[in-house]
Amino acid sequence: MAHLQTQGITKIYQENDVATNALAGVDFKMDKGEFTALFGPSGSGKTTLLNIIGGLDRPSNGKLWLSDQEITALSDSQLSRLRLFKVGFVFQAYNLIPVLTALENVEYILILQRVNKKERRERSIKLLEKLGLGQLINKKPTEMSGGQQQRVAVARAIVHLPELVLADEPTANLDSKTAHELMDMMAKLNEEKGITFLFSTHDPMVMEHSRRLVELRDGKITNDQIRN
Amino acid sequence: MKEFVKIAWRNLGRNLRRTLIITIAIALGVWGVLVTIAVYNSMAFQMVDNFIYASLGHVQIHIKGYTKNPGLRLCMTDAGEILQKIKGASHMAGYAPRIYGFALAQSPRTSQGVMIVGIDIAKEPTVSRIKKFIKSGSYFTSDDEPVVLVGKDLAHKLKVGEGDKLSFFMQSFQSEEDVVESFRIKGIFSSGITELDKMMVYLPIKQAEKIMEMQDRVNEIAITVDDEKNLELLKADLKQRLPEQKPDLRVEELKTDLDGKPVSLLKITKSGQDKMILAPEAFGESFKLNGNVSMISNRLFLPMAALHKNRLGKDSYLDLELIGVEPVNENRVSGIFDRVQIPSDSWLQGAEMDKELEANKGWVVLSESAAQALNAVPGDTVRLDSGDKVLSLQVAGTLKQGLDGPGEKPFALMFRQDMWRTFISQSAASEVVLRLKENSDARKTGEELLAGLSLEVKDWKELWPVLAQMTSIMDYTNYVLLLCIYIIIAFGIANTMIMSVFERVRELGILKAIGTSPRQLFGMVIMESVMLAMIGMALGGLASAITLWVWDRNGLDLSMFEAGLAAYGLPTVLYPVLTLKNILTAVIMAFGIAVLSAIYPAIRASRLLVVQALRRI
Repeated sequence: MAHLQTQGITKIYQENDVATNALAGVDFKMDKGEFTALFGPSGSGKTTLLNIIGGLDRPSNGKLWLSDQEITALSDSQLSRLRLFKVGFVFQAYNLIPVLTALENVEYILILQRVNKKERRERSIKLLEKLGLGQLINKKPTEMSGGQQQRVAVARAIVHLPELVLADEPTANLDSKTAHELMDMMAKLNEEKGITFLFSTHDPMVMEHSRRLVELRDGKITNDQIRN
Repeated sequence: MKEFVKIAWRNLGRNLRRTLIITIAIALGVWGVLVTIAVYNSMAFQMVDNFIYASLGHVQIHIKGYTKNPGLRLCMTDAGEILQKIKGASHMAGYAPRIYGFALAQSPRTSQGVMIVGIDIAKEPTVSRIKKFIKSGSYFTSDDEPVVLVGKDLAHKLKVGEGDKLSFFMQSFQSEEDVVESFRIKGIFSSGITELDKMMVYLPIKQAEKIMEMQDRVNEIAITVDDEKNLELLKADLKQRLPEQKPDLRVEELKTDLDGKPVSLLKITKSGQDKMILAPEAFGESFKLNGNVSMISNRLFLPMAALHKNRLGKDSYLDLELIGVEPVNENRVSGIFDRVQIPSDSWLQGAEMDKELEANKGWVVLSESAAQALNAVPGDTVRLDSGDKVLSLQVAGTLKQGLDGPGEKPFALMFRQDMWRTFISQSAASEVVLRLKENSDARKTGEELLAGLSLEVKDWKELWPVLAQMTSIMDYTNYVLLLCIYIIIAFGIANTMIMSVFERVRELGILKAIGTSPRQLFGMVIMESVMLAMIGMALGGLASAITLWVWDRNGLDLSMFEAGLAAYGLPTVLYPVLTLKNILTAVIMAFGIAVLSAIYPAIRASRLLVVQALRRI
């Protein structure tokens, strides 16, 4: 079985009397260590699919497995644990916790996982240094540039070595140089640590970095290709 | 946990102005609550303190029933022994015996009913502030001085001052008639308690003993405790030291009267060597409190030699039993005076025998056997001789039967008071006979009568429940006030926390997205609220501490309300009183309110839908 597998996932948003099909039966598989981009126009269902895969939202229909575990069958609190231990998130708007420093933001996940203080500090600092943020560990998000914040967000997403990192348009708010650096960094992490990445994007640069491109249109996969 | 505290703490700093406003509101609330409670407590405390040290004492000892039916005769008859027993009781700060009697005080201008209190001039200042209350003149210096201390309002009413003379009409222990005694006013006191200043006249206990015939008898022993919290220990020790303080009395039921008809009578005698009941009036006073008792008669028996010189000059001599009774009481109990035989030309002819004899002293009624042996007839004079005392009485009539029915033994009846005054110099009875109301249970009544002679140890709360109630009303007022202020604070906190949660929906959504559990989010919001409360309380506590410290040093001068305060027995300068319980209640309630008011926003935070939260900007 694939590392990630979806089966006939649909998502219907009901607003007043109007039903919108955000996802209309998605069958999708991913193996461990993939570096894959979901692309498509706005409203094609990229974010919705990502949210469902990450356990932030539930599908209207269909099933979803992550490393042999059926996510669609989990309770809210089980989903909460799944997100904490197996999934890392990188959001378009960075979404760091404004009252915490870079280091504390990264450490936060490890705190929730009850990693002891010494270890979590070491791991967090080492990772931030590796991502070129060694000078910024005591800065709060407001004191950092967008690129720096997004790199901290990536650090937060991978510090606990999740099985899957979901990144929702991670470069959308970055200039092209910074975006490039960020993608290089994630590609390197993918290679070195074998972390599986799934992006949603319509940034050609991101697609260029990806090894597999999946196109979504009107809630359906219309194209799925491996790049060499 | 620590991290959540950190996040909560830093969140408070994000909107400093809002945090500041709400913490100041909480601080003001806490300050207001603590200071107001301190004022209320101060009033309650000072009021109780004033009452206790004006006259009440912390604990009082009386004979049972005294507090409900106070009266000179309802007294402890062996005061010396009782005082000896309580000496050295644990946690006792002071004790003082007192004699209380009602009197009419007469000044050259007017008269007024007063309460005369005989106090031990050395011991009294250990339980009351009477010495400090003196506004003009001075406190007693000697037991032998015939002087009094008079309350300010009473002096004003009687239009007298220090150095003036006052006459008092009062009852004494023994006699039914008023005694009149004059005293010079040595000092005028003002206790601040209107009731006392209007009513009380103090005099040295030795003087009171003398004029009211209260040697070794007191109505009250007032006691103070070293620390209010030891009150129960002191009470327990006193009760232990005074176990069933009752004389060695025996009760016997008499089922028939002089004619052999069924009747309900109780005879009380003293067992043991000394068979005389001393001061039976005191017991009688206690027995009267029992609803089943309708009449009491004290009987005194003494063996006596009687002498009669007949008209021919011949002496007759007889050993008889002399019986002292009060004719009216005795007649209502036994009807014996209705059986007295008198000659047709007697001065008693046509009169109600018992009442007439009660009013005219100097008579004796002889048993027929005694009259025969002495050769005496009504109108003759008989000499009664105890060996060292002699009394001559006129024979008023004769009796065929004695108090115990027809008997051979010669006896003579006389007025009991004259008898003990002449022969034994203190009031005594050999037996006390009580007539019970119809259908009363004689045996049960007898037990009740003996139990009624024991002592009661009561604390100020039992003695003056109104005072205790007023303090608990103050307590309730405190809590209501506390609740009102805290409800307002609760809305302030709730508002702040709701705002804070709604402002951060997205952020909370992220926390949830990356794995924070709903429970942790809930706790975080509650924590923020508790921190707000803690800062507010710390500020409020600090402000209160400063206020109370300044107040404690300088006192709160309320002299402009003097008249109103005096009515409640309050001094014009108040000092703060705050108990640990007050502070803890305020703190615990503040925490409770902080948690409760944050519950709704906390639930909102924990139930956020991540996807929706993330869509918020």
